[in-house]
Amino acid sequence: MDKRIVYTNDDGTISIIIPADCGLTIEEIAAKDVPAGKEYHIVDKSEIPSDRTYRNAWTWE
Amino acid sequence: MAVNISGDTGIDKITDGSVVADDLASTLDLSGKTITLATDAVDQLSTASGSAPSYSARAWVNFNGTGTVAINGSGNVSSITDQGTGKYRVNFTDSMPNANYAVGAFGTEESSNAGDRSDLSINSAKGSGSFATSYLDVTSCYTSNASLFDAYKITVVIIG
Repeated sequence: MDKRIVYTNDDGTISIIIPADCGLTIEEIAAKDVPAGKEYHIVDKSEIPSDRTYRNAWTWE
Repeated sequence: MAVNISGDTGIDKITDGSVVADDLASTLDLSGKTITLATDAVDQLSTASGSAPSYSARAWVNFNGTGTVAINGSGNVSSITDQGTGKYRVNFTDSMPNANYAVGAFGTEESSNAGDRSDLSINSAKGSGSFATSYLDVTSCYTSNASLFDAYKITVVIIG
């Protein structure tokens, strides 16, 4: 699946959900795996940097 | 009375005096009956030798923790959450029946030296010491100084 789900954590860092090939849609996975009450965004995999040197400093704008 | 079920190309009908079922896809009530699997089926489920029973995994996953984090293979896992350097959450498609499951996890350090081992720890729910039934948090750290790092490949198996 070439989509990712992004949400911001309480401390300002971001989490990125990588969906598995489990038979669920990306929306169903978001509804299940994003913590309750968190706003999330579904983005293309290509929008996520592959250089993780400063991973903990990533933010969502 | 023991009921032996075997079939080289599948089982179409089970009879026990009267017809029990014409199609195993339909509901089949075998309460009160004992089923003995054919020898080849038992071999697939049991250990190679000895009498100790074997148990199936409830969930498993193999994923890359570096670069573009990606799931290579999985079972009963809906997603991986990349929570930051060396921090991952394994989300189960169907939750575990309780929090008393066992975990096996292994990580390799770098693609160029995949034989290197990383220390993987399992984060329990804060303060309670219990696992969550719907997910498992895994962290990857160097064996030398315990600092977090992104493991090249991580495998996790859940049994319980």
